[in-house]
Amino acid sequence: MEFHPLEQPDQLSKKEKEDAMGAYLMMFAAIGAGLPLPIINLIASLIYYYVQKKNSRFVRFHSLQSLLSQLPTTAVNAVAVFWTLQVFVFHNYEPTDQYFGYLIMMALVNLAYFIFSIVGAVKARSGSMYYFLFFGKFCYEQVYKVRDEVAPGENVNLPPSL
Amino acid sequence: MSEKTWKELFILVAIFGAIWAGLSYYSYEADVNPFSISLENEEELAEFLNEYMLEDLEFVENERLDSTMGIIFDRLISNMDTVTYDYQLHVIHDEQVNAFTSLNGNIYIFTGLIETLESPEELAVILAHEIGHAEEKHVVEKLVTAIGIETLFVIMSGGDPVLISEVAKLAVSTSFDRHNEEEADDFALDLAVKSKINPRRLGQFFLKLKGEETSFLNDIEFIRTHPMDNERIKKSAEHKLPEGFVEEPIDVDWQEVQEML
Repeated sequence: MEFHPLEQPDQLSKKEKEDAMGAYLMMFAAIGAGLPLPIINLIASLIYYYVQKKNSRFVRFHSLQSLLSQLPTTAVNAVAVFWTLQVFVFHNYEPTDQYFGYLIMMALVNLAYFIFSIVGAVKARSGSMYYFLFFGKFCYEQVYKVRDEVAPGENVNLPPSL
Repeated sequence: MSEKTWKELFILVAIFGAIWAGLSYYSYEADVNPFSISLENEEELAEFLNEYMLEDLEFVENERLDSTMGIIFDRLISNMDTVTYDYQLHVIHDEQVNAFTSLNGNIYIFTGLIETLESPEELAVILAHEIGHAEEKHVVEKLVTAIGIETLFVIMSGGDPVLISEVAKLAVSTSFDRHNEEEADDFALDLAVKSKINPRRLGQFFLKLKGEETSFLNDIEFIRTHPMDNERIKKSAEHKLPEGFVEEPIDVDWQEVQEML
């Protein structure tokens, strides 16, 4: 697999560094707006990712990492909200040990997500890469992999076969 | 995705799976149930209540009836995994078609109910339902939710007969919420299967009451105090029976029992 070269801090403009940092930070604002149904933050970071799509790979990497690492967090929170409603409002389930274990795990997931995002934001501001477990590798592959592009001069539009 | 990326995904999922499993392993029960009171305290409360009830209600005193009821009861008790209380069954002389559970494993049935029932097995599933209320601590829960644990003890230790009689009324007004009823039903259905009594009999009994409710103008207490809906009848009808399940009749002459009342 071939990859595009990584940008070094001195090759990045101040704007790029700030855009990359923004990917992590804007979600904290959006999370507040998204409670208790954690969906608004997801939409916000999706929009952010698409806005930054034309930006440099460095910015794209950080916004994709921020977006993707948010997916499981959102899913975990959504399940917690659903489960809590079922237990305390609709009385369909019992508040079992699994349920309380899940709530604590949810708190830990959110805490971990919070810490990693802060670190990610700080690193991005300084123009460094920062790889989350799994998401870092995955996003690097997605953003930096050299894709088969059409070579210049090659005909893209061809007549239909008659 | 490269192999290393997959590996990291696996590690991530494993970490959180392990955290969840680890946290679930701890028992939160003690913190969860603010309604739990010790068995000794419950026994004390039950004594007060029984005294109150003895004053107001007429109990059937018949040794033969007691021993017959004992046979039905033993079938259930001997098939329970854990038995929290030393269960006491009291038969009350009253036309009401009803049964209820009080504190400390005291279960009361009215003669009206026994007269309505057609077999000892039918009585057994109803008793299993009432045992379910007791084992799941619904009465204690109801009392404590209604007046709070501190107030409850102030009243009980104060010994004021007026207040105690009110608490007693609260404890024996058998209406539980739907959730509690379902819990007791589930318990009864499981216990019935274990005791080799057809769990369909619970639904059968509900259906019979529903039929009578529409055909008579009778005030059937059991329906008023045990909110009933088709869901509960359905549950009994759909309850899974183990393969080759055969009901083992309870060796009691039912007609004789009804004549004893």
